Amino acid sequence: MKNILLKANDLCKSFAANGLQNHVLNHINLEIYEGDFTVIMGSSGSGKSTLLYSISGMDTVTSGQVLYREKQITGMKEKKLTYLRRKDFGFIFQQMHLVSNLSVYENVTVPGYLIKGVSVKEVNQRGEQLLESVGITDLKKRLPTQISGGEQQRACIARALINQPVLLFADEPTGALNKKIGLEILDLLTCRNEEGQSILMVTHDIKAAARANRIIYIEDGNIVGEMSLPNYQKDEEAYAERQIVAWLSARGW
Amino acid sequence: MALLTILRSNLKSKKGNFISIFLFVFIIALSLTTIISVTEGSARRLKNACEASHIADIVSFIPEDKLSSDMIQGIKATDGISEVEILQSVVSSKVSIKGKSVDFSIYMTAYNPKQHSFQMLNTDLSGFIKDDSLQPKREEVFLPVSFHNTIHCNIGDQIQIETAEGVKNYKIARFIEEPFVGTGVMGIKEIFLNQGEMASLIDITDGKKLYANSIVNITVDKSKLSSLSAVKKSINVNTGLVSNSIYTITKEEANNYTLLFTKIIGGILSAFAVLLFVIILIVIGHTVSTGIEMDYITIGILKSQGFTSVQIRSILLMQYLAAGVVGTIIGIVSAFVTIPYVNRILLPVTGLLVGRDTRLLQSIGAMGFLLLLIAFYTYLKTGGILKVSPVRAISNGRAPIYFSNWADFSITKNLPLPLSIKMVLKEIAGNFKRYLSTILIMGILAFFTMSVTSLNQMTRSDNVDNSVGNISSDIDIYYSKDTDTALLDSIETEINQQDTIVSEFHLSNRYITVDDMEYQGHIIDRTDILKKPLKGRIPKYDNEIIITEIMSKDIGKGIGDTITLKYGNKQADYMIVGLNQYLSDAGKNFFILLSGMKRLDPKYKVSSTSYLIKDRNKTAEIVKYLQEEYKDQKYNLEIVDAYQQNKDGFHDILTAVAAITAITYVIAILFDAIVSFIICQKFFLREKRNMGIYKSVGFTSWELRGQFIIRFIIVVLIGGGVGLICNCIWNDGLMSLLLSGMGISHFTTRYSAANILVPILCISCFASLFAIIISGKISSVSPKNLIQE
Repeated sequence: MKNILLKANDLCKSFAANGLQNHVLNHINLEIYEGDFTVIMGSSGSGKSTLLYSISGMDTVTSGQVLYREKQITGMKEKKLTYLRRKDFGFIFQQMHLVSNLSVYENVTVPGYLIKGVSVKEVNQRGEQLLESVGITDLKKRLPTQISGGEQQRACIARALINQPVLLFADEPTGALNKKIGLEILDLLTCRNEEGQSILMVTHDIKAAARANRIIYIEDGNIVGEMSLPNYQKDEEAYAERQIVAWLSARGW
Repeated sequence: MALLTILRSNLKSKKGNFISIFLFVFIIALSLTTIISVTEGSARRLKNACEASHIADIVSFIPEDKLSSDMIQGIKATDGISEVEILQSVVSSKVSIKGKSVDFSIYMTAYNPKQHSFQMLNTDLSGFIKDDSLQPKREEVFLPVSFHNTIHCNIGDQIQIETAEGVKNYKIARFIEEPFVGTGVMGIKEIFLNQGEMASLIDITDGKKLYANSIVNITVDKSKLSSLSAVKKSINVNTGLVSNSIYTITKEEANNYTLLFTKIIGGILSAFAVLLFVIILIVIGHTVSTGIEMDYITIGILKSQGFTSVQIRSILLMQYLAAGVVGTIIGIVSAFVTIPYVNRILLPVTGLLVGRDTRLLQSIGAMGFLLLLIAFYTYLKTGGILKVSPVRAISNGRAPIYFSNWADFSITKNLPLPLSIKMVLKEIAGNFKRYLSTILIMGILAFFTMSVTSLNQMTRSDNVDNSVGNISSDIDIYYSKDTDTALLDSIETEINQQDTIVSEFHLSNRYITVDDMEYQGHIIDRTDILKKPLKGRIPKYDNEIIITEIMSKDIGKGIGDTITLKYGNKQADYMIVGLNQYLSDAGKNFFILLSGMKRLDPKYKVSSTSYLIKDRNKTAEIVKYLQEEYKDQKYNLEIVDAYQQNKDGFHDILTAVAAITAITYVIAILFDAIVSFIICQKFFLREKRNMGIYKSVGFTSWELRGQFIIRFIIVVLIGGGVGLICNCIWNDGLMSLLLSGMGISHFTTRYSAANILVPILCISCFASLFAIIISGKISSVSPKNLIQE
């Protein structure tokens, strides 16, 4: 029996623009389990990124509840939410979003310095290890504008993992990258998941979805289907992709 | 149409930029229009008033017995003289108003409406009475309007004139606008009586209490009007008129005195306006650069749609110009309110009622020129648009690195500093170039507010004498040359009994010609009362003289040179041994020893003694006591509260300066507030994305706000420090330049905690306030929106 990390109850999110209400998420109920590589899929404008940000506390919700390890995080005080982001959650954005005036090394280690009781030396050591694990040690002194998109995304992964988060959120991490680099990023994430890292990823890419062991399909702000997959195997990748395509087609993809 | 559409939408969505530039230009337009209108208006008013009043080109106030017919013939025969008119005048040894002795040299003259044609002011001094036939009746007097503030008198008050036949009282019937010597800064005044009254006074002149004088009005040929000083000099060479007169002045010199203060204030405010304009240009440059950065994608999209760089630059230019034009129009219109207010402040000093005279054409011209400069500068700064590549901009790729790593501060080092401080220092060190414009602006504001504070400190009346090297006293005793010395000794004993006499000296003033030019001379018996000279030394011997730096420039002579002094029919040579600073007579004066004066007038005797007492607050009490004690001697001597008189003497000027410095302080603070707001906002917009990223990785809002606020304050304090250093280097020179017309060639800034801290605190307070307000968005907006908005 897997542990439930995140639970969404009757989650709704609306945006108001020029007096009009735009309902992006409609009464979503969802559970995210520990150790899973969960993917949220949907077409453009389906609400998948909104769901990711709402469920991770990065954005507010209109109504409903989100519970993390049975503790309600919707309506949580901003400071407590920040501590959660600091210690338990890690984020990888589609557009990388590295701080432009910090070096790669500084971008990776800064979140680590925020944790009380952890020395600077320890954080620096962990940073070095992470940079090595994502293969960009020799780029650590460079600025974000001095490295490629793929290298930036590797740095983002390292940054997201510096505090050993319980749950890693990724919003279309390969969306801004070419196919080859995208696959390398997916390999890194898959590797982390195999080591026990829980991942919740948003994507519209079938190849990326094939890395998951659980796929949630969202359409017009509603969850319309859920699919389980065996753990990723490289030689069964094509089969997994065909299964996903068939499943999605049945749901109007 | 395409450009207008973009322009309209930009003005709508970027209201903040528009409003801030509008406010800046509004303040400049208001200040400049006021300055131009007040200075030009005063000059025009003076010219018109002099023409209407038929003021002569050179006027000499001379004792009747010294004006011989040969002298008159000699004047008429001098080259360039077209007309000479002699008017009778009477001078009293003592003139009082409301029991208070008047410090001016008062020349009483018969009022002739055909000749004088002075404007009469109405009862509340807000305008003129249109009645040319008005003249003083018997026992009435017309006074120059500067008396109203200087002596604090009103229409209906009585003026007392000492004569051998007792005190004569005259009711103040009208205040007039006397454009010649009516200004509050000159020590000589004409007051106007009924013809019959004048005739009666002339009949009872006795040479002791009431003196017969002549006023010699000299009209010069039109061809010589540009060289009145030279004509005055040649008159003296030919006739000795100047040397024998109490005072001889040209219309040019009188006009300079009348407009002296207006010009100084105009100079200070103009310097202020220039500094503010520089700030505007820096802010525009800052705003344009940030705007291009923030709108990188939009500019790329426009370019990809076919807009040329010139068109895009023109849109930006029109945005700023639109704000500038609106600010100019409203600023100029608003000046209609400030102009009469400033003129009213200057009325007691100039003696001119300028009213609402607005120099629209000149103001529009000046602002037009400034707007052109703004347009040109804005167009130059928008050159960055040329470098925007459409494709790169749209794909959110930026131009190559724009961060300077020359002063990098690593936050990974294990330093004993909190992480927030390390991040603040890193941000400042890594982006120092970006903060330069803010530092410059804050530096200029700090510099200017410190300068204004130093000026204000100088003008506090207890500081003025120290600031400008003037000699002041607490109690002055005036007496005739025949007064019994035992009487004077008894007065001194009385003073010593009431309080301790700290110092006693004799200081008197005479107008003496120096190389045939007239200057105010101070005759002293003790040299230790003089402040340390700027150059050289204080005279030790009777053939030595010390002159002011300004006088030295005027006569073209310095230390080691010999000058010839003439007084009456005598003359003697003196060697200049030192240059000093002394405020009287617009800084053109000199000092000689009593023994030195006796070389010019062997019969010269002191007729006043000045005392400094230990407790100055007792002065009024002691003077009152002495006046009561020696009231039977009131015809032989005069006991004056010099301490109060000195304060009163400076009062109008100091009030005017205080008002003007208050206005400039308010404007500087307003500018500071607006600039702080704009820059804070721009900083935040630039850093919003990074704030979102930091928030997403676990920084709290307060940590991020704290960093933002501390960073801004550090930058402001650096600017304040730069302003302070520049002030230490340049303020003395700048103030000396601006105040040289007043007689200050050597301004010394007195730095104190107030002088330094108050301006820097003011600037820092606004910076902190806006940093706190604007960074509030970090708390209220979610990390996702901060990043993506």
